[in-house]
Amino acid sequence: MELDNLKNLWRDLDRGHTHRNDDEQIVKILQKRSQSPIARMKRNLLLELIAVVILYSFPIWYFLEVSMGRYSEIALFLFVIGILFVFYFYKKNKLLGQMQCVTCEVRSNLERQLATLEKYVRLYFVSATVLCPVAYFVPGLIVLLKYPGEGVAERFTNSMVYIVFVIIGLVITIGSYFLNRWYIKKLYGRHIEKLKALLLQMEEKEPVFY
Amino acid sequence: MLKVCNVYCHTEFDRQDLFQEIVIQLWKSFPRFREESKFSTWLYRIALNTAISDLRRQKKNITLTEPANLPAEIEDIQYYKQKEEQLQQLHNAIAQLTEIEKAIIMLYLEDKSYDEMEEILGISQNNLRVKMNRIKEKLRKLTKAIEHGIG
Repeated sequence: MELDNLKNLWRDLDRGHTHRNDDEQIVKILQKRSQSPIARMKRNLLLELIAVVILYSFPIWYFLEVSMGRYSEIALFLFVIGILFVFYFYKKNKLLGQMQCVTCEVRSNLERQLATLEKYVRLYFVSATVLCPVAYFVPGLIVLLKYPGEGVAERFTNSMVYIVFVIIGLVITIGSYFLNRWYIKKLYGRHIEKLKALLLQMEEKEPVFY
Repeated sequence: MLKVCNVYCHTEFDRQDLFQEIVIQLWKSFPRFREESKFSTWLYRIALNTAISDLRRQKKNITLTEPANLPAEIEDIQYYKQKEEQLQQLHNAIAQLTEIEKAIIMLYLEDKSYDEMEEILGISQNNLRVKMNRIKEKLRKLTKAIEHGIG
């Protein structure tokens, strides 16, 4: 088949379009939810936010009401973390909003997607890696300092308690770093690589020989 | 739009999915259309951005597919059979190009000028010409290979 024929063949496709989308079909399509990766990420983010609000409200209520304010510092800590989470979700949502510009040139849209996705992933990684040790050390220290010699702590001598506490904290910190790195790469790594490959396809030029 | 769906999708389900996505994006973007570019440029940008950005549909192992819409009213069976085969060859050859090459060849087949292609894709005209030559060569080899049953 000669390339000159390609355009004629291509035009023939127009003649074959027998399925016409009438207004009703278009309205039906518009009533459906977008399934684009960004739209789905936004929906997941909203679900995460709802889950965090529910999961944080219960322990805050528990530490304030059921334990008669005995661990009110922990309730306050959870409240602060909850507020930070809301800020974190706001920031992520903002990045998702900036991630795509469908009316821009294909190349600038891909560049924008890559840059924003890398920022998004960095925010995700830093927040998740910092949160784990903070969520362990802060409430742990509150309990150890405010109520020494109670509960688990009473089984150990004072110095032993702190050594075990720090060792577990280090394991959690290092473990969460590698776990988050692996998980984020699994979630977004392929997507980032694909975007880079697409941009490379656009850059690529014929080698110049002198 | 249907042609973009045919070029970028390999199953009927994916085609419908992409068509739906493009319609939704067009609907959302239309209020911001300022006529700074031609309507067709704006439309191709949305369609191609939606198709290329959605990496779910991009699979490494592409199976050869049939074009979705072939002429319905067949008067001369022999003639249309030949056309059908050629169209299938064309689609199968395009299916083996990279995502960006698909966009370039589609715009070329749609008779778009290099100016408009640059406006849609954001690739310089020099680079487009180089790529176009390479794609033509690739397609020539691919269609020949398919003709000889190697594709």
